Amino acid sequence: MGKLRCSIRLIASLAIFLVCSAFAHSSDEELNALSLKPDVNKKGQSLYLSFCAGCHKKDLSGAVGFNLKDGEWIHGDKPTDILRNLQNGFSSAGMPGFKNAISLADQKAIVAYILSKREGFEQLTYQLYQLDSDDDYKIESKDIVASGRLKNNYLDFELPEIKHYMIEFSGQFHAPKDQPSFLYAEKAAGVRLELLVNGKAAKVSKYADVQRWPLLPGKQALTLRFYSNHAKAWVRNPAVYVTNAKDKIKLFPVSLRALAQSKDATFEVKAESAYLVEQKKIINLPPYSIAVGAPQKVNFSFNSRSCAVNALWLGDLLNIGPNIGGRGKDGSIPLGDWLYHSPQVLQPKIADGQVCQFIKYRLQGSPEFYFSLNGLQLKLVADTQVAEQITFNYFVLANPQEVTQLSFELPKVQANKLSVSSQEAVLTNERLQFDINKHAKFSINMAW
Amino acid sequence: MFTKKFNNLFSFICVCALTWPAGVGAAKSVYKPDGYQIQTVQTPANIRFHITGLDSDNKGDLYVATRIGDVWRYRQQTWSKFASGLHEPTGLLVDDDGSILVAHKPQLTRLVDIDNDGIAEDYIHVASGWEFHNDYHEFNFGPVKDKQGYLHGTLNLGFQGGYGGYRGFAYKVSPSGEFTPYSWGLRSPAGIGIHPNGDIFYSDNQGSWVGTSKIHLLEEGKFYGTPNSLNEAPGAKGRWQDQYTVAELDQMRETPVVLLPHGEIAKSPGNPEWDFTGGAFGPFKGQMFMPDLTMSNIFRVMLEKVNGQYQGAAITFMNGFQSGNIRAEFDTQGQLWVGQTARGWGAEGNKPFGLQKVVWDGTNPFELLDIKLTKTGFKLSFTEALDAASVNAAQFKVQQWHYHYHNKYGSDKVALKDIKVASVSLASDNKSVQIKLPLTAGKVMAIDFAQLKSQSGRKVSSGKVFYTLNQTY
Repeated sequence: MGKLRCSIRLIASLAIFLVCSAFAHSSDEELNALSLKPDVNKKGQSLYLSFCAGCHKKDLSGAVGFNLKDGEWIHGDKPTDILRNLQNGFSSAGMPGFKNAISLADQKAIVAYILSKREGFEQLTYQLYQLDSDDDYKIESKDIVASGRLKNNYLDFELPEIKHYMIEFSGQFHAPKDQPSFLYAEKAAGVRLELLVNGKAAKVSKYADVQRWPLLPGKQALTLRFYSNHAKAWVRNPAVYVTNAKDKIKLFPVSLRALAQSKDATFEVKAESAYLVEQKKIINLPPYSIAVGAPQKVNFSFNSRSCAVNALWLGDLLNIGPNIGGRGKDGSIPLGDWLYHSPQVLQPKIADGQVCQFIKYRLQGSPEFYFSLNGLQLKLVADTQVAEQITFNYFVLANPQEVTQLSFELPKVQANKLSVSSQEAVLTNERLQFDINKHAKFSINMAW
Repeated sequence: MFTKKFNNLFSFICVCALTWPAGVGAAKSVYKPDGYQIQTVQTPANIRFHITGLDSDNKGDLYVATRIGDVWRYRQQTWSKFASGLHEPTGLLVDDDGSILVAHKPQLTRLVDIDNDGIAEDYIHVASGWEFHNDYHEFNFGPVKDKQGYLHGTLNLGFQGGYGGYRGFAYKVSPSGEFTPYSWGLRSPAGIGIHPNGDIFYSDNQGSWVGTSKIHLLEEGKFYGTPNSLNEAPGAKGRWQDQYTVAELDQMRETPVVLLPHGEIAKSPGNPEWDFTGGAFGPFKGQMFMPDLTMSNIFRVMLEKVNGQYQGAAITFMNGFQSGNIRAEFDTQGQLWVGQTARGWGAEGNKPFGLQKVVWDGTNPFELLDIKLTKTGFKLSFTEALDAASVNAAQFKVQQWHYHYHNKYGSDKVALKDIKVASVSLASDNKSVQIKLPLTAGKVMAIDFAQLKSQSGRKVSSGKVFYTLNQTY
């Protein structure tokens, strides 16, 4: 009995030692440094997808589990807080601890990856200055009437409950590292807003009711100032987002109003048991793109103006929420990873300046697209039954001009990401060339 | 936290609305003619059912198109989904062969149920000869079908005037599929309808170059006042800004047959729909009924031809609908169905979407039946004989004004003036009254007759009519 009690004490002591030693060897600085190492992040991403994505989603945006990339961390946002929570889990919330499930190095890699994907503010603070009138532009420290931390790390423009004010928000900010991005404020027509990036005034662009400023990639210090002055009541709560450069896609919300709008902008459309077709505005795709989702979690888009397959992506079909909320200004977002998208296309080519005439699509099983190119009538049906590939089957329905050769422009995608082949075609100048006299039906296969 | 903030956001929006200049809060009066009730139709649970296309077939089945992109059928009080995946439809027509035509942003599409299982399999391209730029404001309204089998639709301008590609045009599609844009100068033409005599009318929303919402007779080769589309009109020689002065544009533009005073009759009118129910909907036979999104109401339009040209009047019929009314449709039973949405553009009714219908129980209401221009004033006829004691000139309050034609969004009332009624004369059957007053062409005349009484002692529910006096005799 005494031996057993001794053993239990010994095991407990050992466990405490192990936990302590784990933290003794993991500092915030170390984890932050790891988050800057591509090899660690790559490993962390792979582990994250295996162990975490089921509950926190592949893009870390949260599902059953919390969002892991925004500024809200109710269990602590320090790197060592995140590591501790990963190790211990939250059994009451259904999250297991990974302390004994994977190695400490793997745990750190996951934390490093999570840190690398961080978005938005951290350590956000505000200072509220009371002004005397609409025309009072003199800001002095004696005007400060309130200040503090914003624990959820979102800009809150409703904090001032006074008529004349300037509110200044400051904090460290995480912008995308992999693409140019902007701080984007909408519903802000005629409002005086100033942004400082690492202490320097950023150049603003204004159009319609939008103001936007370029951000640096990665982490930076931001200060945003809002002056009430002559601003009407309805422009005192701008919706602030980070957007990308090219298509002005709202990447993530930065203000509370934008956060509320974003939560209202989720409406996921998934092809669970049958094919689905959606005609919506879709990010990265031009107008007239018709999206098709297959239950095998592969999706493509057919463009009724060009007759091209102008996108292919894995996962679920679309979040159409941004396109069906409010006035529907924003594009739907594919719920998976692109294999390619416009301007990359799989497009039949019959002549320069060819005329694509869309005829119809038919929904009976896999959608059938009917169209003509300079009179050559074709039908396209995709086959998604074989795992990790899609086959585009083309049928010649009418050939009044007696066209013999039909070539296809191919999407330019890394060979290790997507391979394109056809049994009936000859590959010439990076195009597939078909003899449609011989092949009234032919196929193009894409595998990943 | 989220709930708290959402409530705050809602309050914020309300503050905005209340500060709009044209009096969102103005329509607080209840307009409900005796004998008419609004009934709410249950829509499918947990489905976003913003109805922007609405038609019924000769069997009494109702078809609706929703903004999310679905088409549903309502048969014997049961909903079934007929089609899905369309791009924000804003119009639907049941064609003679039972196929369904849907106007959505990129295309006019025909839906065909090829195996009679109640679900469309074929989504057939009918027309897409305009340009769609993925802009949220590029709506495609319609279609209506004329006696020759042509389909007609109207194309909304894009945001802040748009990007060309026949935006702001009306178009037709021949039975063989030929697309023809045929008139221009439209702004936000959210409603198009065809009278059984073949005349096509459309409504346009207040905004730049549209001082107040309006109704036009739609004819080929005409310019309807919003200049953005002039760049693509036949014979265009360059930018319209370089070609025309505002005065020239004013001369070129078509005159609306009816102006809809902002905040008093309409703010965002939908489609014209005529009562050809043979009396099943009450006494307003042959009249145009039109829904309004922002005001969540239905108003009546009484047209006549003066010197060979249409003109007429508008009067509120009913209000208090649950959401924004955008589509109206009489079915074979004489019920007036109303499709509703309030997404993106707010409405008096606080529900985001829905379907209601107006039914008549046979009670004769006491309301203005019709108004006609005379050489010296107007003749107002009523659905019940008037109490002669209530009829005198002092009981009629009349004002007139006109609107600016300019690039600015909307217009104030210009040259607003009280007009004195010189005399009144009651017809021998007491059912109509002629009022004499000075008439000035080019004005809207508002005639308030709310103090009149019927022989049974009733007062009208809707006591102010707005006549667009383009011409006098």
